[in-house]
Amino acid sequence: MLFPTFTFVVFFLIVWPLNWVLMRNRERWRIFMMAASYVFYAAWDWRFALLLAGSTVINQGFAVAMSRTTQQKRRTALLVATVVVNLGILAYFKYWNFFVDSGQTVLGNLGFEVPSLLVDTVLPVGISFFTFMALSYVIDIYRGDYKPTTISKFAVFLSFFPHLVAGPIVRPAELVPQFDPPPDPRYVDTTRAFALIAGGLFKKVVIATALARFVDPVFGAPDQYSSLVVLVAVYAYAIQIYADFSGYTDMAIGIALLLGFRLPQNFNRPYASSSLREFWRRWHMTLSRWLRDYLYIPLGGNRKGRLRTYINIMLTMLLGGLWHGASWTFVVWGALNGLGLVVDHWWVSRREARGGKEPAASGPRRWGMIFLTFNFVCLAWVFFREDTISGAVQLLGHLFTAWDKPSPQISVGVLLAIAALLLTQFSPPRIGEQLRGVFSQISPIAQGAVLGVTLMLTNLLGPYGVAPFIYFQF
Amino acid sequence: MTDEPTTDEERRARRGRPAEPRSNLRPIGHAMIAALVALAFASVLDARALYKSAVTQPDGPGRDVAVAVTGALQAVTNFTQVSQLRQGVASAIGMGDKDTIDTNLNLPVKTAAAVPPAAIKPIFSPQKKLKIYMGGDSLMETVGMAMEQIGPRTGVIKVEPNDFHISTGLNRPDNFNWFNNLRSILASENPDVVTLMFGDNDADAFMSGMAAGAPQIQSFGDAAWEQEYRRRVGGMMDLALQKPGRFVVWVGEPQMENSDLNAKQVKLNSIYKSEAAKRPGRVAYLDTYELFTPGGAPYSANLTVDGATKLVREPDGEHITLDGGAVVTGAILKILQEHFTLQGALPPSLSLTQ
Repeated sequence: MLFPTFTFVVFFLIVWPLNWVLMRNRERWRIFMMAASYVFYAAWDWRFALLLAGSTVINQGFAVAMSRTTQQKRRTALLVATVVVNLGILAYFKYWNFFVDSGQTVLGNLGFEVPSLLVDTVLPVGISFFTFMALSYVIDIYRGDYKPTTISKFAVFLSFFPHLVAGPIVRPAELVPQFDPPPDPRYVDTTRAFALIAGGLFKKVVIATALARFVDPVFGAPDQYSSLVVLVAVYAYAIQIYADFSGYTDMAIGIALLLGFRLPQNFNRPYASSSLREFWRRWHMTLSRWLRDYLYIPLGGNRKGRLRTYINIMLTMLLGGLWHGASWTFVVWGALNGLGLVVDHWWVSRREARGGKEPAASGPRRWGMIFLTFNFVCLAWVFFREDTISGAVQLLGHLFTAWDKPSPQISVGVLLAIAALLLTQFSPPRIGEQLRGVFSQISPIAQGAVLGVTLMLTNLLGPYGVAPFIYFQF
Repeated sequence: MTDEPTTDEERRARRGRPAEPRSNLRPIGHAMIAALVALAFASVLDARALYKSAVTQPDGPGRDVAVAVTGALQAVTNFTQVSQLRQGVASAIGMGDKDTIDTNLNLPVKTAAAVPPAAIKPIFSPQKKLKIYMGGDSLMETVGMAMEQIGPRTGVIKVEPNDFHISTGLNRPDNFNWFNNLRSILASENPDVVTLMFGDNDADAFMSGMAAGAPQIQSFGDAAWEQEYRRRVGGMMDLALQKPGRFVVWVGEPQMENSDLNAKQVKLNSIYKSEAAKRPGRVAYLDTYELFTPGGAPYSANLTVDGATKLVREPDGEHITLDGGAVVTGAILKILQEHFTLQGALPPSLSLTQ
């Protein structure tokens, strides 16, 4: 069930009022919200719901068992078991064929004949997201940062439909406490909710879809286009993936707000970053935070010397890349970002050692850094988008070899979509706050009229039908 | 990898403030009213688009219900003229036809007369260029793009802007009325050659715009379906041939990777080919199935052209790459050279790199 569809509108128009009506009876509300979320998820494939239920029961079992023992060895064993089971499930559905295929290729090149062990599986939508959320629940309990909650609360936390299939990746301490006491229906952040939903819808339906139509054929056969067209397609893909993914999570956060719950922000004008470190604090923020807290810091973070810091960064980004998909292109994408972060860290420590200052918040140097960062991120996206490493290398090579090749004109719509979204990266947040302030003060009828016109424009500028979201595959 | 606050939300939280100023918070009842008003208002403004979305759904009970509901909504909005706002905006940005549903085919009733081979072929030159129109579904996109690049290099051919429309075909004029579109292009551009390519979206039993009393179609490929689809294919040809001397190149469908879809394309190709044969001297059928997979070879995304292997098909196993478009363009130019005298024409290099 995709957010920008008629089916979801009907689903939400039933769930939304019932959510508030049942809110006072907490147990009844939890059963209701869990049922609604499972209906939402099972709309893709009912078997996915069984997997989610299994993950809920297993992780709650480990969490409760862990909380009942004070023996550190036993707690550690339980933690290891939790990680193995969760990553095992993820590995089976997402990585089995990748590793088997890679292994068979290597063995085949060495002259060994091995039987095919590839399995025919369907990747459950959003499995990476809810697996990471379940892991953070058990790890937080192991660390003593969080106490096990009831299975019904944990089930709602894990299955809560706004974040279920594409994040944000929420921590238990962020969402579970919001279940008790219930949100106050007199003070709901509805203005922000509407702004996020309307903006997210526009980004997905108009911007991402328009750019996909331009990007897909160019990435499909880059050698058939001029360098200029390929370059614009690389930039267009950077904007497309941002519009697509941030559009979805904006809608998710907005929908959760309408239900009375706050989900963490997932994007914060990432293309305005002046360094790769800053970019990763602004892009898919909840994943960056998860990787930092559950991988980078446990590996030693920056506490074990410069070399270990660099190794830890590389490992974190390599695994972060692999989290996105079972393909070597994602590994290369992670490696490129890891290398970039290592260079960034090295540069900053060198500057600090020399007593240098951070570039000013504005000025040519900062703009230069933003330009460099954006272009590096775009370069890495090529590996993220292409199916093979050789395809990505070929596309990048084509950026330098076909400037004299005639190719079709780039439409004004594509250039406008790129420019419009880049502009939003640099617009002061104050403008949005002021607009929301004005909107919140007008009557509900007038708000409805404004939203109605916005919906109409989105519908008019978008195509008939909705393309699937890029991040659903992860 | 640090915990510095970067979001406005985080900064506000660190200052002990809520994510949004409290003055912006509203009772949930207000939001529900606003949402319902928004949906109602958008439904009214978008009534024509909603109706079109309903009509263009695949056939079935869901479509029937959606058509009934949105049809009633559209009737009300038409009466009150509220939908004029969307129409006005759409017209202002050049999308005035987006919501139009016109299933009237208005096809010529007479099949275009055959033309005996002319003793002197029609002559075109750099001074009097041959005007070619390229129209069709998404498969025409790269074919048209290639023709736009290669055609003008002959010095004798003028290519009209590529007129491809994604997810369209001849069986759903409710979605996009190709018959009206072609009629209007012919009137405004008056091309000498009309090149058409359809089929990828026509591999389905359901057709809108059926004539009253037409036999009921039960399944794709049955007698009633074939009769109606033939009428449409022949009708498109005859529409183009209403002007004496105009020539049509009908580009058939290449082999598809999916065997079920391919079987349907074979059926469609047989209709295109036989309808073209009914109009000898005026319509040429271009067999891209043979062009891309010669001698009944199985599906392949690659094709050896002049000793070099080229990727001619998209990874989806249906669409044609730009290089594939160049191959089709070459075949079209060959047909044109057989039918016309292109005086002073330069050899049409099919390379996309020149």
